[in-house]
Amino acid sequence: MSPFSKFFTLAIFCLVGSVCAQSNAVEKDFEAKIKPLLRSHCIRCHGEKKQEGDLRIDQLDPDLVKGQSADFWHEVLNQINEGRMPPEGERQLSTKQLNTITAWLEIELKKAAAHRNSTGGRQLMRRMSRYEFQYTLQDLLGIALDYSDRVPTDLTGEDGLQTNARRLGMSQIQLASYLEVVQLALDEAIPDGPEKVHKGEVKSPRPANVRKQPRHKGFKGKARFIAPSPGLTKSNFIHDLPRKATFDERPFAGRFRIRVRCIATASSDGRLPELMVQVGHRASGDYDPKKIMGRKILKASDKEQIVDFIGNIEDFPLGKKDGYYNGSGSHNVTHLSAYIWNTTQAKSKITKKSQLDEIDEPLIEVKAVEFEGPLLEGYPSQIAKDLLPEFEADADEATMARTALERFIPRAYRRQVTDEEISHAVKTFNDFREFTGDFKAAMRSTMAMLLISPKFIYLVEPSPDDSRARKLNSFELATRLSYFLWGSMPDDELRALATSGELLNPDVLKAQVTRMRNDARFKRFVKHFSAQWLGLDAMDHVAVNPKVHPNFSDDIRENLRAETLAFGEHVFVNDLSCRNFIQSDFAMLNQVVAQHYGIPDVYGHEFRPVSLKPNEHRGGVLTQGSFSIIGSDGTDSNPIYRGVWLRKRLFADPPPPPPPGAPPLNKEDPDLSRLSLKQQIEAHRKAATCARCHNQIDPWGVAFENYDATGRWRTQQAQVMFDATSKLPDGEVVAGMAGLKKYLLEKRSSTLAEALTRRMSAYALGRELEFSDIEMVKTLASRFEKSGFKASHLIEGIVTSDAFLTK
Amino acid sequence: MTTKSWQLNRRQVLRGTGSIALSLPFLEAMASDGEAKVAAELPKRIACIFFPNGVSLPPTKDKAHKDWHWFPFGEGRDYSLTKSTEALEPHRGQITFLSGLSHPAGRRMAGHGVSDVFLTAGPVNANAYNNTISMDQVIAEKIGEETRLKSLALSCGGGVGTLGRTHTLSFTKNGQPIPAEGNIRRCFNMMFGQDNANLKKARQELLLKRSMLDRVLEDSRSLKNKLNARDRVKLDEYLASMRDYERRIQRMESWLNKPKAEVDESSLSLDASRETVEDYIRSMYDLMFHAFQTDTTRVITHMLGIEGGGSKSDKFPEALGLKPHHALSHRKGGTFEDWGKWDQFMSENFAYFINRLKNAQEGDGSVLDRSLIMYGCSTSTTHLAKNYPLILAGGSQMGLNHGQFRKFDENKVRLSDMYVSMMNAMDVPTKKFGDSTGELNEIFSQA
Repeated sequence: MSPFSKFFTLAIFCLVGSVCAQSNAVEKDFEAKIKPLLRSHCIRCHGEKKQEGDLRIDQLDPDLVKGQSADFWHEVLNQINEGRMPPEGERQLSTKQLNTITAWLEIELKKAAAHRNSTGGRQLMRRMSRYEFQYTLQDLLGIALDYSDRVPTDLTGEDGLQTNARRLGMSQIQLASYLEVVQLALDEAIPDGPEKVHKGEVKSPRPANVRKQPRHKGFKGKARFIAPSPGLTKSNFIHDLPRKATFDERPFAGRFRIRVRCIATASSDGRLPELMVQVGHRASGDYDPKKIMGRKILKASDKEQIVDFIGNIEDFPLGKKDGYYNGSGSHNVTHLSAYIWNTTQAKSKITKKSQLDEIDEPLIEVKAVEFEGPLLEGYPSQIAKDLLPEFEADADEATMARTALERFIPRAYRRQVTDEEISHAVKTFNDFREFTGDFKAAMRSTMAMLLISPKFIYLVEPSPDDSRARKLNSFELATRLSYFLWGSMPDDELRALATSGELLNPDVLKAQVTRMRNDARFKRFVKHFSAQWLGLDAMDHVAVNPKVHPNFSDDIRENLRAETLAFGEHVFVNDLSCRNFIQSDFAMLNQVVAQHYGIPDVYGHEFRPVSLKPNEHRGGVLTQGSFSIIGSDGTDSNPIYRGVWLRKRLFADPPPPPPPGAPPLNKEDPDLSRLSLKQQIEAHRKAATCARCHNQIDPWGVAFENYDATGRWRTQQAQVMFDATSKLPDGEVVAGMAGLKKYLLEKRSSTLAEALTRRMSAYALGRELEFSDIEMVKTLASRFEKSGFKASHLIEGIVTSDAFLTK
Repeated sequence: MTTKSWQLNRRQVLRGTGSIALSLPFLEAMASDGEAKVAAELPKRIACIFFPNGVSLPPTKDKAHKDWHWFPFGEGRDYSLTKSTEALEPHRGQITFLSGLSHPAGRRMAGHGVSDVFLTAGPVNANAYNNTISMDQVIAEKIGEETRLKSLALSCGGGVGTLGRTHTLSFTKNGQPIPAEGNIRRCFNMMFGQDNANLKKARQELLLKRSMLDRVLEDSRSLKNKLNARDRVKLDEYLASMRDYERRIQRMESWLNKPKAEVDESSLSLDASRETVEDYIRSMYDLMFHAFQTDTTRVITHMLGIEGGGSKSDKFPEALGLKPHHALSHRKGGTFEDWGKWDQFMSENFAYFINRLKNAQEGDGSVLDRSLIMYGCSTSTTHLAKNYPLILAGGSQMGLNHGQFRKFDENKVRLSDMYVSMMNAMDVPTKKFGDSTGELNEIFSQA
């Protein structure tokens, strides 16, 4: 198989400094080094006399950037790389000649790609990304619910970033989802009136017969407890059935709470139970729709504890107000049922015949389940209440609308607005008021109209003349700044500084950056940037093989993902050195992750920094399970994936994609099957066409070999000894992960600094970096490195760079 | 609209018979517009079905060559199927095997990006991702207004996926991926869910939405003069989306006045999940069948699996005790025979779909006769984006001449040429699509 296929997205290569030679130098290079090779090896069949495959190489334009031949050159590269050209029986290229020609082609193709994707080093009008849209609605409307699932996902480039204006496209489906979401959000922010609150309680709920088992006579004594369920459909064990509480009175929209009052006991080895709540309704026959509301790991205690879950009625498969469920036809069902499970991972072998007294597992006894909804406490929020200010009872509606819109539109458009814009909105309100016959409904519709406008959805920096770059005005700067660091609109303080113009003062700007980094909203940047930079979403593409990793679960996967995010948050929020991403003396752990790694004495669901001992083999992101999974096929580690990941993410230097017909490692080859994976990969590199790229990839990945496909440490497995000693491309030999980390920090410090600088700059600017940005990147990266890898310095550097301050 | 006493509407029929019949054949005895339609007015439909990772093509010396080579042996009318596709034997008169076709631009693509261009032939290459409209959407643009859903994109992955490995076959005219539906129940509700209780309210909401769009357009036109050329491209994309959306709302308004087709949901496994593979695949085919038969849509794309490894669909072969599909395609831990067994399973399910269409009477023929079905993949074997394994089925009333294994010279004929012919067969007059250089008339004759 092609080793990089999973990483290969037909994406836009990043421009690398070294490839930006002057074009006449390129021409000279071509005439001197490449043309003679083509003449001696290719032209006889692909020239004037013969045109095998309809291809004349002598007529291809050697200028890949400006010429029209880049695609043909790419085919030439593929043919050579696959060893199909020159064909058998023809004069072959020596290894050195092969390297000369393929290296030239790769570099020129990268340049051509960068040229095609160029935005002239300037920002485009950029649509908000999916998460920015959600955050902006939260900050603008004061809503609490997450609507982002209703918006299509955005495309991610090879650099992993999702803020690139070129890729943030628009379609009617996108637009329709925006309108749907802004209407829901406005319904939430401006509700029609206080709703009747429903409350209910079910004491000692009975087991739900979800698997059609014979009814159990009584759940007395220890049988009151719920045992861990190995799966929601598989088990026949009676004691792991969920407890079910049904509520007949409930609202049909809005937030609600399920409160579980319970007692939790740990197993003798200290494992804690995990409680899961599903919410749904019983419709008919086999149709029993339920959806998970949440999971929580409980503290062990003899005392009754309270566990709360908050959700949104609309998100669950429930009947509708008029008695119809939208999915099941004509069943008159309006109730809501909560199912309480114990979803702890059991250690014991539980069978049909097991006795509850005999298994040593964490258990949960449910004392009561309570329902309350809709939740009105702190809801709508102050921001939401301020959307329609309070007026005297006899106030004129048109005046009220105008006042509200005069406040709302500048906030929504993130700038000062014109009188025409206000009067257009007021006129719209008047028409909608007549149409709907209701003040609030008309206000919601008017605001919805404003929120699907390009003036809201896009970050607009009007600039009719793009022949020269211009300085941003203070509102545009406030907007760029807040979308970079908060993924959302400017707050009141930024807006005030934009209005007064003070934000353009560099000292004020720097002070704002510091303030923004210390604000809770900075965590949004940290979460999304970390995930994008490190390519965390690729975790979803790897299915871990349950036969090889029987103890692995989706729950562990989610916790490993959360570990990586918690780690990024800890480093960025506390402004620790970013060298911690390579090596740290702590790990961010919770019970699930610590158990997976075999680190003792960590209990509870919250992530916290835990000091590490060297023999625990952790620290930094390279040792995190997320990236072990990404660098595997779900069954075993794959050093090639891991090498590609490292170069792509930490060096921002992705290797070229494999040629289309790259042969797989032939594992059935009897000579290979006796070898370890490392040896197989070494053997594979003996072929010159493979070696050229793989010499630059595989050695990085081999150093990860002590981590299995799920990130657990290993030294030996059956007959296989894992040897993570690796000779790196520059000849340095490192002993496994510890050696690799040391090498990276000592020898590749500036590569790391430059890579992170490039990724963060591209994220902040919302575009590809180009030739004109190289100087900026170099300056920022060296400042960043000298600062001891403090993200605060890098962020400040980016924000005060010319590229960030101009359109 | 006046209703003559001898014409029954669907609801009356349903009430009269006491039990709900399986999705009523389209206009078998009645017409929604009050006039019985003649055969020429019966709908023409198209479905494009994609499976990932190529097919088993053991080399001649391999012991599996005889039995598990996806492409049949022989040529023209004289060809024989292997075990890989033997399930299609009963449908020989309704299908054509094709070899040698591909998208030349795609031949240069590496890895698993090939599904992105299966229906677009887009200029997606190592240098730039500039995808273009997919064939189905060109057709939907033209004929989509006739049905409740302009088109339907299905995929076991759902959503849009990632650049270079999208979860959908359908792309807008800007080359943006159109999110596909992978959840059977949601899809069923969209097409057949009976929730028209608040019809008046729904109409009012649509009217209000349309009015909002008008106001936005009014207000944003002035923006254009303030932008430079690059930004204007972005604004134009927005404005075009806005107009498309407006048309969609208008269409929804007109459909609100007509009842949805009724399909008995108990005849379907609506809760089939990706864990019960055969049930899931067949349920998806069932939905496609009902969508066509009830004329809920005339254009469907369906991605049976996602390219490459790691996806849920990649694990489907495990249901047969085989390795994941991507591993099979690289013959890691599996032989050509194993891979062929998966091809066989997929062929059986495809045959099931053909069979359903064939057994449904419509006019003087079957639904299949007016449904043009393409089934295939944009790699023949491991990462080789040439010689796509392709089958055309159905559409005998649309000019298709079946019963043959057609071999084409990849240097002379392009898959886009066939797409041009397919679009013409769908009454969407087309001279050129993607990189086409002509038409592929030998399979099509004007009916």
